Parts: sequence; structure tokens; C-alpha cells
Amino acid sequence: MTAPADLYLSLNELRALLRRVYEALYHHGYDFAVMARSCLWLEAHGLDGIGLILRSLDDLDTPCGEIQLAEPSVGTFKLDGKGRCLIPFVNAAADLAIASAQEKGVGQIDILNVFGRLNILAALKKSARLNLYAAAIWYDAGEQRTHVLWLKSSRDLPDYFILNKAVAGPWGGSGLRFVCAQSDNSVLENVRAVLPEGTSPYLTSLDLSRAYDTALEGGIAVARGDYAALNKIADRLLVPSTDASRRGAGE
Amino acid sequence: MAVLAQTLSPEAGFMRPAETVMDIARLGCLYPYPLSFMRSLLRRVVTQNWQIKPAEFSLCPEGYGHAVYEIKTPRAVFSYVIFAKKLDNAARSDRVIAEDWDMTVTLCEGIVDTERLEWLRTNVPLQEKGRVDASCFVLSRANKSVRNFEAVVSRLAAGQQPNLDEMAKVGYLYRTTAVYGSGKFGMADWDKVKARWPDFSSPFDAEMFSCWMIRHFSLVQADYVAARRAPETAVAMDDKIKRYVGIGNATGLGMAPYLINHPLLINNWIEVREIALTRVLALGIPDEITRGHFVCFAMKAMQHLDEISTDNQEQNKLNANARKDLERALSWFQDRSISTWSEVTSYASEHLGVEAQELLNVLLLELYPDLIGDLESRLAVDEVYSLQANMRTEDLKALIETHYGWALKINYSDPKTQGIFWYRSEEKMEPRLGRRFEEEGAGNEMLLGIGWYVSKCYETLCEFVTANGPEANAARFVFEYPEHRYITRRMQTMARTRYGEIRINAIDLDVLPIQLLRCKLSFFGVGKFDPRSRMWVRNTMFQGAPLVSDIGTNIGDNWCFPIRPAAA
Repeated sequence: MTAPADLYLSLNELRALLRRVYEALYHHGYDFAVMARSCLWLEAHGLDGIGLILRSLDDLDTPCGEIQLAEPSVGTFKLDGKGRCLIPFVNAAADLAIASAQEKGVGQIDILNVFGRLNILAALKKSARLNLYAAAIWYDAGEQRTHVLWLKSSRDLPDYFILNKAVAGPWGGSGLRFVCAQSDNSVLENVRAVLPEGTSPYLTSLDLSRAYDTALEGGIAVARGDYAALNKIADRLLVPSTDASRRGAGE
Repeated sequence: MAVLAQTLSPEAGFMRPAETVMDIARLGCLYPYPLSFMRSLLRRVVTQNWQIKPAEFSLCPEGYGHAVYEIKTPRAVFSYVIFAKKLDNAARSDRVIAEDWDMTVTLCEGIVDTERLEWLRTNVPLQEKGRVDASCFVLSRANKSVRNFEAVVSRLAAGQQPNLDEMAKVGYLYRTTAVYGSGKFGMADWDKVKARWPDFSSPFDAEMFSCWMIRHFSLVQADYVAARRAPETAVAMDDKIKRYVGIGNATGLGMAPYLINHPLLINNWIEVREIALTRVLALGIPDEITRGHFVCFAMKAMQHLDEISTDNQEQNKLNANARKDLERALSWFQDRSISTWSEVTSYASEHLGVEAQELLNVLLLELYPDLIGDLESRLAVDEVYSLQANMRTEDLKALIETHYGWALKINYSDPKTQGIFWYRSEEKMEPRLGRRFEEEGAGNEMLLGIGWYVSKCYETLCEFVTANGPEANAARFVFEYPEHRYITRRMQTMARTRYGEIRINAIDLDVLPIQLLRCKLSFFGVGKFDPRSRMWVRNTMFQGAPLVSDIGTNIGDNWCFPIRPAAA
């Protein structure tokens, strides 16, 4: 058997590594465990979570500036991400909408001026667990494509649509809308505004689910260079070994 | 989990409260019990008649080489692959930072062919520095107890059985120093193991099986070497002595974070144990037969305690006190008739130390395997710690006060209460303790001081509620204070469980990590604790357990509190 070009990491192994990465980046200033899980889900569903982190590293490694939250109407939020990566605050931002959906039937947040928008996937998975309907919509001005993640009833995962055209909306060129609700109406209304009926998904929920099963079965292929880059960050957590520290191990 | 308790509501009302059960001083006194993982596993192996045979056995006369065992369960075939080598004494270390071992092993799916064996040979002996794949699900290693192994082989070669006095002191031929599973180093994820291989779908089944196989190989190897050293005179070890030989284990700080990082799972293990006890107390009727069994188990437990050999004076004192308490309880018990076993536990809680109370509980659990056997399938749990975003912050505040009052009572302005920090060392990421106010590294502290994080969160939350009103929800709170998101969802999740968190201040200057270790090891089924410091403990696994050759016989599940066999 020859050594494979990529390393195959188990999901648990990758999750542990990602936890250390985020812990090294933010110590306990953010929920590093849920950040790691969100990234793991992307990777395990075939959506390049590791690439998203690595491409965001310069931003993640810089202290977060002030992001601004507004609530123009009850249950509707607007967040200015000031051009930062979505990773550190995506889950907390989505929670605002989810709480509104649970309390009032529908919740919505427009997150503007950010990048790394696919990180919103975890919020749709959480919505599914809470039996909510949900969708995330954004337009990527760089690639001139519109993306829609749409969680339908009775599904654990959304369908993922990509349109090769710009669809204007409150999300602009670098924002996204996340909407979730106890009934289908509000979500459908948002989705139908951008997605022509009959559009085929780029990836169905079944495709995503199969990707996860494959990852669970055989592990996740990670390029050795990427693995080294992640470890380099994670290793910032390690404390040099001294005589005192060896005593602290029970010697 | 709450669900588990609800399905057993008639007995749930009598379960011991969390403040009693989750106190770390009590958890640090737990003994193995009938649902401990190695007991459950071996019941299954024996009753399902698993077939375990060497498919390859290639050892030199000194016992070095490789062996592959084929394991046929009713559902599947697995291979257990062992590499045994000669190791310089200077290289032998029980620490996780060691880099060479007498024996390295893996448990994997299916049959191992020559090509795969060679691939495993290039990786398994490297342990952490190698890579395996997702058809492997345990990676482990063990070191010889050189003196004991050689003493046993010498006697067998000379036609004599091992010296039981010596064996009683050590109790094993090999010590495991790490047992990895759950996807480490490329192995199969726990979710895969659970779904794909039901034979190993209870917590730590595969890891325990691996330890049992190491014990098996250690016995085979001793017989093998003795026979080749002196073919004319050598004898095989008696089975009753073999059963008395366990597998040594050294467990250090690495295990402690696991308990703190998996509170849902630990709650579940504790809850199952408490349900078992509650059932026995509610449904077990003391009659002549069970009274007799109880006395027999108690006598055995006392002998077991007498036979534990450790240089640790504190442990010796604990063992001696437990034994004395047990004798006292037995004397009380034999003088009277009782109508319920609760009379025994009431007597214990009024007159005996915590160690003896927990020991007596185990004796009671041993009496009624039929009342509790079904619970062993409930030890696994899916751990999801989800933020309840819509919870009112006023309710969150009340939740903390109700379920984490123990944490709020700690006075963190006293430097002693945060005198320790846990961190990962650059040496193989080994978890270590540092003194916060004396050593470098607190900036990289692991998130294990749960009480401290609870306290900080509560303080901030109180201010938040004052500023924003009681109706503001948890989502708003954690958006504004993202540093409290983790602890908030953890508290919300654990508040829904019966037992909640282990009540320990893990960053107190005087923290005793071995209490955490002993708690976890008791669930594994490990006994004979020999603490080497407050941070690591030697112990013995599978002592008294059935042998591979006992599969298919009518050997019973009666190996609790192992005692030395009578001399031949």
C-alpha cells in the first residue's frame, strides 16, 4: 500500500483539530467548540470548510472590530459585519433570528458586508433540529452567482441552489439574508423571490447527506499542506515543557 | 438524560439527589459494578460465544514477532493485530510521551491479508506518530512488567506455577499505557463504530476488548516463551491463576478532561447506575438466599481490599477504613432481620464512610443482575449541547441559581480557588497542571474550570438583565457576550438532566484529579487503584475475568472483587 497524497482524518479528529485552531485564535472569547463543529459540517458535507478557514486566516487572526447590530422591526435584525469573515459571529447572529422564530413565528437577519457566507450552513442544521423552516440567500459579486440554501420541511439538511446570475436584494454583493420560521410561508416567500420554480439544486439535501456518510465511512481527505497550516495555528496553544511542567504531569 | 428518568418514573422518585451523587469526593470513591463496561462486554462475548482464534502467530522463541487473532461475533469478523518487540529497559515508560513499547496493537474490521499486515506493521508500532485508517477502531500499546513477566516465565519453564504472593502484589504481566479509539489517528469515528459494528456499540466496548486481548496475549506469550526456553520441563499456567492475572493500566491527567468535556455522557452513566441502585432497593427482597449471597460478596470484598498492594499511604488508609466499615456493617447485618435493602443503605449513610457506602451499593447491585441487566444498553447517548436561544435571561439566571448553586458558592476572590490551570504541553499535547500565579502558560488554559466560567457568566448576566430587562433572550445575551455562549448552552443543556455536572472546582489549588480518574475507571470496571500521585494512578483491569478459553463454557459473571486463588 503506498502512502496516500492526502491524509484521511476522521470527523472526530478534524473536529478536535478545529477546536484547537479556534481556541488558539480566540482563546475562550468565542464559542470555539461550535465554530469548529460548523466548519466540520461544511467539510463533511463536501463544502470545503477547511478552505474557508484557510482563506479567512488573515482576517481571523486580526482582532474583531466593532460589528453593529440593529433591530429595525421586531424579530428582524440587521448586522453590519464591517468586511470581516462571518465565522466568529455567524452562530450568535443566526441565534437572534432563531429565537425570534421560536418566540414570534418568524425571524430574519440580514448580515451585510461580510465574507465566508457558506458558514451559515450550521444555522440551517440547527433550524432543522428545532423543526423550523429556514433559508439563507446571498449574491456573490465576485463570481456573479446567487446562492440559496433552502431547508424544507422534514429535512435535516437544506438543498443548495446556485444561480449564474445576480439577484438583487438587501444582501447586496457581500451580505446574506437568513430567515427562519415555524411555518413555510415566510421562508417560501423569500426563496421564491430569487429562485424560479422548478430550479434544480446544485446539491440536494440527499447529496449533502451522502457526502457526510462517505466522510464518516472513510474519513475526510485533507491536503498535507492544509493539515500543517491548521496545526501551526493550533500549536500556539501548546505550552513549552519545563521541569515545573513535568511536575505538573505527575512526575 | 431526562428521557431515561421519565421512562422509569415510579422509581425515579426515590433516586438519590444530585448534590449527593455528583459530589466529586463521592464520585472519587466509586467501585466497579455489574454494568461497568468490561463486565458488560465479557457477558456478551461469553454468552454470544464469540470465536477468537489465532490466524497468524509468528513469534521468535523470546516471544517477539506478530500475531493476528480472528474474532468472529454473531454479526461480523474482526482482526486483532499484535506486534511484540524487544524493548530496552531504558526506553520503557508508562507516560504518554513515551515513543517505544513492548507491544502495540490494533483492532480492525475484517480479515487482515499480508499486504495489509505489512501496512499495519509500518504504522501501528509508531502509535501517535503513525496513521491508521477507518477500518481500524482501536490503537493501543502495552509495556511488560519486566520483573513479573520474567519471574512467571522462569517458574513456568522450571515446571512450577507462578508465585501467588508475587502475583497478588503486581497482578499483571503487561500494563497498557494508552488505549485510543473514537477516530484518533485516522481510525473510525465513534458514530461509524456505533452504527456499523453493533458488537462494539456501547461506550468503550472496543477499547475494553482490546485490553482484554492484550491480557490474553500476555498469558499466551508467557506460556510460549517458557515452553521454548525449557521444552523438557515447562508447564502451562493453570487457568485459575491465569484468571487472576489482569492487565495493568496507568492512567494520568489525560482522562480527566474527558469527564469534564462530556457532561451529558457522564450524567447518563451516573443516572443509569443510580436507576440500577433504585431498582434494587425498591424491588429486591432480602430473603435467605440473597442474604447469604450478600454476606459472601461482602467477605470477598473484604479479602479483595486486604489484598490490594499499594505504597500510597492515603489509599491504604482508605482501603483499611472501607474494610473496617464493611466488617462493621456485616456484623450489624448478621444480627438482625431486615425487610428491605434500604435498611442497609440507611445504616451505611448514618454510620459508615462514603467509600464503604459506595462499596455496599455495589454489593447490592451484584445481588440482582436480572433487575438491572437491561440498563446496559442505555449507557450511550448522543451529546448535543444546543443554545436555547429564546430562553428569557431572567429564566437563565434562575436556571443557574438552581442547577449551578454549587459553582456560585465558590469564592473566586480567594486565589486558592483558581490556583491551578490546565494546559496542553508541547510534549504530545499531554494535559498538565500549572500553578496559575507562579508558572507561565495560563493564557493557554483549557476550558475546564466550569464553576469559574459559570460564575463569570452569572455575574455578567445579572448586569445584562438589569440593563435590558428580564424579557431579553439568551440569544441577545450571547450575541453581546460571545465569551459566554459555550457555558450558556452547556448550562441550558445540563439543566435538563437529572444529575447535571460533576461538582468539582477543577482549578482549585488542591484539586485531586485522581478522583476524576477513579470515577471514570470505575465505569470501565477497573479496580485495585494504586495512586502514584494526585495526578495519576496505576490499576488493574480484568483481574478475575474469564479467559478466551472460557468462552463457550458455563463460566459465570462473578468476577467482581477478584481475590487470589487458593494454592494448588
